[in-house]
Amino acid sequence: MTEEHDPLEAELHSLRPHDVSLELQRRIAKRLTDVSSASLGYKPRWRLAIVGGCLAACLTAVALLWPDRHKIDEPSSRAGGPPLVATTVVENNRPATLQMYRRALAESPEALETLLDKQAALSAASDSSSPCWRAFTWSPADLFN
Amino acid sequence: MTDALDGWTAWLGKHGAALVLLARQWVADRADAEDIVQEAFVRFWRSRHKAVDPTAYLYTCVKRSALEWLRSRRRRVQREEAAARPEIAAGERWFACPLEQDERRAAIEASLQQLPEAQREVLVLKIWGELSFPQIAEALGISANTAASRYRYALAKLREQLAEEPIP
Repeated sequence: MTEEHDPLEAELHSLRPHDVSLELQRRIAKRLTDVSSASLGYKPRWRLAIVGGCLAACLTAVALLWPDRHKIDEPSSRAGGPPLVATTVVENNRPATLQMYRRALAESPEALETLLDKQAALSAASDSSSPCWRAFTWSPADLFN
Repeated sequence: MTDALDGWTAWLGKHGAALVLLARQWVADRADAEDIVQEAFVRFWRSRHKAVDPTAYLYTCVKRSALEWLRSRRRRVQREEAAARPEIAAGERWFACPLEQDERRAAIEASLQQLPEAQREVLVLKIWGELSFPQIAEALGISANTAASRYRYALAKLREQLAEEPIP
């Protein structure tokens, strides 16, 4: 180690370096103030992101799980979906009786035809795999060929 | 000790002059030295809590900033030229002193300029930074024994160069 009371050391100690300029102090103050302001102004944007994500998830869940009101009045259990023609038949979801056929025949051939159409549509709606009933499967001309 | 200082103004008030003097070991211009100290001090103040010895860390920041400044500004050649100059231009003096001591001051500054950089920076930290040898070792990344050796060699060389100069 150095000698105590070294004259050269004492002389060097007596020399004082120039103090920092006021301009340097101001610049440092400004830099530190800017750093502090940036730190305080930081907003936890991640919180906003989480809240927004949750809100979006809730809206999506509501949209997916909200029952479709238009489907309440339509039969949803029928496979293949009922044809539009059977809409009115569903309301009278019963097979025509013999009396109904007699009454329709007594009324007019057109009434009988209409009843037959309704029953055909009803049968098609209940069983989509069932063959499509028609009054005739071949033309009368084929009988004579 | 100095770690008990509160507020950056207290830190700058105590160490500012020595920090600028240390920076001037690498740059000849005082304005450039203050730029270096500005960057170093802001860096220090942001991260001082991570340092084991904040005082030593402060001087480490100055040296690192000075070296970065040299690299970025490509002033290495200019620094070597400035170090070779025997005299320091007026207004660029390192120390403030009465006029009657100005000649002695100039001689000391010129002798300091002649010291190797490794010895000069230890001398600056010990004399004007008032750091202990362990702190100097921490700041410069050397051992305390190496710091003490460089300090002795620096004083011996100064003493030799100033031998012809009368001590007032």
